[in-house]
Amino acid sequence: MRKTVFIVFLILLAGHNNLFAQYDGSSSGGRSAAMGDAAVTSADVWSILNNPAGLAENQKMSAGIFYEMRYNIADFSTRGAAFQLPAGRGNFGIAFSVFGISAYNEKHFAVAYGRELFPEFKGGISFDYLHTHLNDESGQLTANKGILTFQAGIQYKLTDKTGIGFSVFNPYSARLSDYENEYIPAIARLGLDYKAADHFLIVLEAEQNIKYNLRIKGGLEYEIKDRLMARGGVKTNPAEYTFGGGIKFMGITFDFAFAYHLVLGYSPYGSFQYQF
Amino acid sequence: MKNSIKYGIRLLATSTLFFSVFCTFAQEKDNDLPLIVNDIIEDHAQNRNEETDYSRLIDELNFRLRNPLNLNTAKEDDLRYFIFLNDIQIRDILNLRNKLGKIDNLFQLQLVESLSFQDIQNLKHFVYAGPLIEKTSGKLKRSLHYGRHDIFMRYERTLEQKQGYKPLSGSHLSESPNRRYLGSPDKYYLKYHYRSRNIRWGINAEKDPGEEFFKGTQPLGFDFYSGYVMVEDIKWLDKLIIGDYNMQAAQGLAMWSGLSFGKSSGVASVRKQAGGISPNTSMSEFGYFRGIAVEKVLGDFYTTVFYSRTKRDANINSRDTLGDYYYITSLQQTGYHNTESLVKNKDAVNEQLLGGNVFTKFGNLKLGVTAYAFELEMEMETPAQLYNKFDFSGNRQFVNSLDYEYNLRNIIFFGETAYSGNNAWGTLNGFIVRPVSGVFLSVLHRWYQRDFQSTKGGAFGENSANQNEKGLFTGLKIQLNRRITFNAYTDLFRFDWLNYRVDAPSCGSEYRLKMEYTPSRKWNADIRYQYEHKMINRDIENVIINKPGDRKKQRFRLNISWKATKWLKLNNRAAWSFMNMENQEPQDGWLLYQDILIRPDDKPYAFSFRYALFNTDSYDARLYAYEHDVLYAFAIPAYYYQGFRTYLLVKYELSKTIDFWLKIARSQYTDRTSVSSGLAKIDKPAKTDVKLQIRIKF
Repeated sequence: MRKTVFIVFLILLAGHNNLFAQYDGSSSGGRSAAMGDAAVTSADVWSILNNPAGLAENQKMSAGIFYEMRYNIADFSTRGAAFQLPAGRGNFGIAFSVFGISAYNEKHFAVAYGRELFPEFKGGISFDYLHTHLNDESGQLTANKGILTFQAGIQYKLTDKTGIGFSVFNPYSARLSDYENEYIPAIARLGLDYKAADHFLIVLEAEQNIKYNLRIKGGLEYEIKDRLMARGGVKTNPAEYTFGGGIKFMGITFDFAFAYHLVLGYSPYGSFQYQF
Repeated sequence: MKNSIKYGIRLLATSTLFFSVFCTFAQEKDNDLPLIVNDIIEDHAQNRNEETDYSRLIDELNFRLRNPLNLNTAKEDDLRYFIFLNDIQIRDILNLRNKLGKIDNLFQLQLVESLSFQDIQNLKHFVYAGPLIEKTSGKLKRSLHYGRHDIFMRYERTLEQKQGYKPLSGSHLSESPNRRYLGSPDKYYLKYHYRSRNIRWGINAEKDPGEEFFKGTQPLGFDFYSGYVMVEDIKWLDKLIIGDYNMQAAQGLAMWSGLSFGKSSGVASVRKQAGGISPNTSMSEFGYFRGIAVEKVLGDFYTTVFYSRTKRDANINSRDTLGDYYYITSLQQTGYHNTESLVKNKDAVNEQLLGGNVFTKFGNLKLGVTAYAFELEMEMETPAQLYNKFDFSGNRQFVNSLDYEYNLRNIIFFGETAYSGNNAWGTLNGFIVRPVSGVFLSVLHRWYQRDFQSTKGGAFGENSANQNEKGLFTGLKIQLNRRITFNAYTDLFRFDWLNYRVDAPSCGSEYRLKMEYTPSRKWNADIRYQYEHKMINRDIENVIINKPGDRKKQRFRLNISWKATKWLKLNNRAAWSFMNMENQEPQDGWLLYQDILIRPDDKPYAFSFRYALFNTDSYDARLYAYEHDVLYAFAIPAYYYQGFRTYLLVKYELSKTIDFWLKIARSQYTDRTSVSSGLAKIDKPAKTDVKLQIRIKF
């Protein structure tokens, strides 16, 4: 508990008083978490939350779960699961995640659909229900608020090696509370990936959260062996390094990541994905 | 030996006509070190406040311009002087040679995937594909015969009178004797060196502006003298230097003197290329050693032993009233002895140093040990400030370190861990990898305890001393194709103790992105963006505890150079800087310039001209730009305030043995009536510098 208080104090001191909220635009899935959070061009089951256009890529049923512990503090953890189902020329997906503890938590439900609109051009949309819960120590005073918003995105191939992704989450900054005009920030992301070689990928992304300065994210993925990946990345505002890896085994992929903040330390991240 | 054979080959293989063409070609190149060298030096200068002498680097590159390196006999260490190449590229070149058996011509370098077009162009200046002769031990006699002598004489002066040169009445002078420079505003510089395959010697002498010459405080004439003799590969001796020398070992965590590159835009610069012992050819009056140094290969062990005994400039204080107990409050590094108090501090304290380095190779693994101990004549007691609480004090220090390098397919791991005698540690570890062709990645982690005291070290770091710092650097270079190259790095660091002007633990970050575009030999362009965030005390008066605030600096620049004709080259730059400091108005600055370089191949003269316009809100928003200068001088002035600067550099080759340079540079300010402050103050809004240099080579 003392550690939590200390970290909260540090965060407040650092001026990022919303840093630990779930709606801060951090990506889902251990792969992008290791690649500097750059996820707008990626295509896997986590696209439901990252950029629904990515759902169109792989027409197979798949599922995934993830766990993140921000700054290594259990109370700041996020847990989630996602499921993807082929439907027509695209994929349907549903996802759910929770951040926080019983006294304060944020839940996120998403239903998404993504498909190829034109050759090499994919689009997707998700409807997101964001629920925030707060109660006092005795549990008598509680506050709950849910809002519905959406995310829309596209992905397309510029050349054989280069892809572009763009998504916007909650474009109208849905209001959370009238108190101090609190709202969920709109987030737009623009990214690029470049396949320098068959087993080497470079990603770059710019993220604009309406509340904060522009964040630049970059990441690398290197396939050491067929089933083994090494990843690294960096993001700015606040500055963090990320690194991690992935192992594929019998249809299961395990991805892990660590983000390192200079003052706040490490945030571990892990996810499993299974393709049916 | 190599030299003499090459001379022979040249004489045999070339007609007189060809020979003369070659000579002018070589001449032309003297002042035209590859752009990358300028770039790296410019980068380096941006991160430093004091002037650095780049002689050693220029020395080596110039030597190779005149005596190109035979790629077929070159050792790995020989190639390391080409700072524009990284380790993996060097290894790939050597691998190519092994694969082909022999490199027949330089076009074959295009087979090395990791070399870009620009790298090959750069390299072509310094290497050739020669025969596969075995290296043989040299003979002293031959070496003496085939060497080259170089004499440089330089004169410099600022035309406007500075405050310190103004006459001061007798009473004022006796009241405050330090309000005046002792000597004339002239600067004299004399350098003589001889170099052949196996033997080198040289003398440097310098009188800085304001120092006396052959009178008063300087009865010996020049204020600074330096000299050395070095023999190499003669009989059982591998290398011996008597006189002034520099020593570089491993990653520099324990021992590094002479030129050192910090962060620069290259991935390559992360791993330092230790040069072992080398003669001190620079005019830097601090940081070198004076004594004897020997290098010897004993079986598989490469061994270096060195001893030095020098006098250092220091500020001395006495504690008790009788003046029996003296101690040092600070060591001075500027080398200026132009006021009474500075002269008093000159050579005030003796320093002795004894050390050694041994390394050996087991297959792909290289292991080394460095150790040294030094002793000052008096105790060092820096005035108590919180930020320097963990700095070196006392009069003795012992430092040792262990270093390694391991080569695993396309990865090179390296690192060094050092221990300083006050029971503190520093360590530095990293790797460079080429995951796929055209991509280089480097990662370097450093961890220096706050009381780690490597006083003779100079390893990678944000602070100038390797102390009180933790950080992780990552660099990435992508060669999209032979024309386009991206270079990016990030560096995050934290200081767990205070720093100078930072009254609390702090952290920071730095990012850089650079794109180079070389569509043809005719022209090339580069764009660069840099962002730096650090914490520094806020400018608030009358506070007891100052809280550091965030300072963000951004720099952007665009550079285009265009080779219009064989003899005319144009270079343009636009640069912009922006600084944002907590509690202050944002400041910005810009700089625009045009360079015109005229260098006809068949004429004995060459001209460089620049016109630059600049306007910055403050000194903090200053911008740096490399300037062409007389050979061996490197000018990277900072442009700040508002005004314009022009310079003209003329080089004239009087004969085959005599070259002549003249440079006139003038900065004129439009937003102020005086320049500088203190003794250096000029009561006019302009500063004009004249520089004259003659080189005699035979």
